[in-house]
This record gives sequence, C-alpha cells and structure tokens, in this order.
Amino acid sequence: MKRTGNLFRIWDIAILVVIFSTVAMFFCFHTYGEGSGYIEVSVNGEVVLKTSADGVYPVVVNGKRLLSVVKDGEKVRVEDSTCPLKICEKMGTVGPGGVIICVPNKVVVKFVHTNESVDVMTW
Amino acid sequence: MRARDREILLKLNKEVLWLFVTGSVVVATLVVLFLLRTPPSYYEYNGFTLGTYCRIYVSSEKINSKSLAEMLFTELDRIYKKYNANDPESVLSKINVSQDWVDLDEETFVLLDAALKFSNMTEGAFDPTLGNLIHLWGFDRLDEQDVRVPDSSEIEVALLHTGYKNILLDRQKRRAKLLNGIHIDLGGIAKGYALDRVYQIAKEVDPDCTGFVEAGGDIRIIGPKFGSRPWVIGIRDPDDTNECVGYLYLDSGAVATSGDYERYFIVNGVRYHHILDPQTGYPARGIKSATVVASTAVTADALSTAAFVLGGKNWEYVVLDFPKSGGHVLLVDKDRNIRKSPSLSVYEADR
Repeated sequence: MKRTGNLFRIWDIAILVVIFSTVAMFFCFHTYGEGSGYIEVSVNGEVVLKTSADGVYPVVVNGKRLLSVVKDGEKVRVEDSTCPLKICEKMGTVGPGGVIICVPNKVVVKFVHTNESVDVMTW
Repeated sequence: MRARDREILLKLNKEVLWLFVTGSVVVATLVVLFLLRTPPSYYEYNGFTLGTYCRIYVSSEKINSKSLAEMLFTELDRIYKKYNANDPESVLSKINVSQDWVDLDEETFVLLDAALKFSNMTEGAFDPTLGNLIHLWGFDRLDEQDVRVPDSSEIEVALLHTGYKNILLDRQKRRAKLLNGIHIDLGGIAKGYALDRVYQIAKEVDPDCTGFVEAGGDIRIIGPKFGSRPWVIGIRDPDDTNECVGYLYLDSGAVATSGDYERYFIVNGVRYHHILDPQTGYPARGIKSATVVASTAVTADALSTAAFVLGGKNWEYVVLDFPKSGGHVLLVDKDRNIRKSPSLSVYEADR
C-alpha cells in the first residue's frame, strides 16, 4: 500500500471512532441506564405494587379499599383515601425521590428513582 | 529533511499517538471500573411502628444485612409497645394509672430521667407530661378519629394536670410517682431513644456496619455511606413536599424535624397541629418546622420539639443557645424565614 504521508489513514480513523464510541456508550450506559423511576406502594411494610406505568391504582387490603395511587408521568399522588384527616391527599403530588405516607392506613407510596441526589429526607 | 527521514518521523509520531490513545482508553476504563465497582450491598426494610413509618437501610459484611435490619425493626417495635400510652398493657400505661410509687426497670428509669433533663434544659418547652392535653385534642390516636378543637375551659382544666415537675424520680429505689393526675406521653423522645438503641445494637452486632435508620423523618446514622461518604439528607420544605430548604451531610449522629404538617386538621381555615405549647395548651405558633442535628437521636428528637415550641417566641435564643446543649438548629418560620445556628454550617458542607 502506498504511504500517503498523512498522520492517519482512513482505517486508523475508523478504529479510533469505534474505540471512542465504545467508551462513550460505556459511560452513557452506566450513567443513565438505571435512571428510570417507578412507584412502590407498601402496606404495613409489605410491597403490594411496583410499577413504572402511568395509571390509577386502587390499594385494596382484605377486600377493603384504602386509597388510590395516581401515577402521571414524573408525578404521583394519593386520592380517595379512607383516612379521616386526608393528610396523605393534602401532601399533593410528589416527584422522583418523594414519599407519601398515610399513617392510619399504614400505606407508603414511594417514587423510587435510582439517581436520587438525596439519600433520605428529614421531615 | 530527506523524504525517508520524514517518513520515519511520521511513523514514530503515529506509534506514539497510538500508544497514547491506547493508554488513555485503558486508564479511563480502569478509572470507571474503580468508580463503579460493586459497592457494599444495602438492605432496605420498611415498616410501621413507633406510630409512624420506619425505614432501615443497613449493610453489614459480618452478618446478613436483611437479618440485621429485621433485628433492628424488632427492637424499634419493642420500644414502641413498651412506651405506647394507648396500650393499657404498656409499662407507660401502668405508670400513668398508678397513684403511688411505681418500680421501674433500668431502661424506663433512664428514659424518664433523660426526658426530665431535657425539660429542665428547655425550661418546660419540652414536656413529657402533656398526655391529658394530647388526648383532649385527639392527637394520641393514630386512626385520626375524634380530633377536635377543645373548649378553652377544657384546656384550662387539662393544663392543671400537666407539668414535668409533677414527675418524682427516686434514684435510690429506681421508682417514679406522678402527681396531680398527670399523664406521661413520651412521643417527643421515644422515637429518638429507639433510634439510639438500634444504633447500639447494630454496632454491637457489627462495629463496621453502615447505613441509617429513619422513623417518621427522624434519622440516626449507623455508619457512613459505603463506609466513607456522608449521607445526603434533605430538609423538607414545610410548604412543598417536593422541595428542600437545605441539605445536610452526615456520616454520624442524628437529625430530627418537628413540623406543623405531620399531623393536623383544619377548622375554619385554621390549622391545628399536634405540637402543643405546654404553656397555652394550644398548638405552638410561629414556626413551620424545626430541624435539629445532634450527636444522638434522643437529643435531636427532644430539642426539635422544644425548638418548635420556643422558636416562635424567641428564635435567637433557640439558634444561639441550643448548640450549647448539643443541638444545631434550622427553623423555618411562618413567613418562610430560615433561622440557623451558625454551628450548623459544619453539617451543610460536603466533606
């Protein structure tokens, strides 16, 4: 093959592109691959629902409906709770990393997000 | 320069460049693998006890992390049952109903002694004898039934049966007696005590275990994140569940918050919450939330209640004087002003 006198030949450039693309994909995979959020609903410590799909999810225990969890994109809220003071409803919507607690019904609704910048909240 | 020399130089340059590129990729890969190496595995246990939601997040290389978490939850629940004023079988109920001296086990004596110490320290802003008042308002029931605004005459009568100076402790015989029909409610300190107890147990089982335990927003650090990093703790904005008014970085110690949004009801547009002012018998006013960082959870828990009660009257005293008792304070007042102890800045910087 005739030497062109240039620093890189076309195959050198192709190999470099492949190497850098691979490294970039590796970084992206580890940085963003686990980023999708989901909601987790537990009653008295037992997980009864785990989903990333939007929708309205009634929480029913022993045939009794306690409340409904509404997931809408990056927000989740509680509605139609049977608790007297409705503090869980009054908390409004929470986003990734947020938690809604209904003490009388012993229900915890968590918006789990693996890239949370905060480990735990004091409240 | 001759053509052959130029070709050799070019080839040399290429080899150096390739060496550099290959070396860079190898180094970058090693760095990434080091940074993303499998961290210690944390086990998360969620449950309801102490009248609230509890979360245990621990890692141990000595015993199974799940077993450790379950052991810690069992201890939290034991303390809750022992000091649940609503359970007639609890140790606390037996003290409350007795009109004579009651012999105490060592744990109960230490806890009551600590409660009285914080009452004295805060000149009654923290008062463990508000059981009658709390019952009157209905805040003692977790099912939230029967909450109401009592008549002022009812509150006046209930106030007659409060006051921490009505607890007599006999150190020699390790016993207690309640005067004037007071009822003890340890809601402002039992959570903190329980968190400190599980810390002790965790460290006895595995001195190197790490993680934290949370009970209703009060947090006790068990050990640094992955053994070396501080845990990032958000302080909830009282007006917006999704926002924080500050961040703390703790690798040890504890933090507790008392807020007017935890248990409350609204009548005629007025919010009545569960943190009662021992002087008036009504919910303490002026502060939306009080956060305290301390070396122990029992200190953080008791002082956060006292800071909430006193903060609306004299916030300067709270933020400047409480650090002398080991509590570093952040207050959010009714106008959303944030008042902080200067010493809190130590915990606000990521070390």
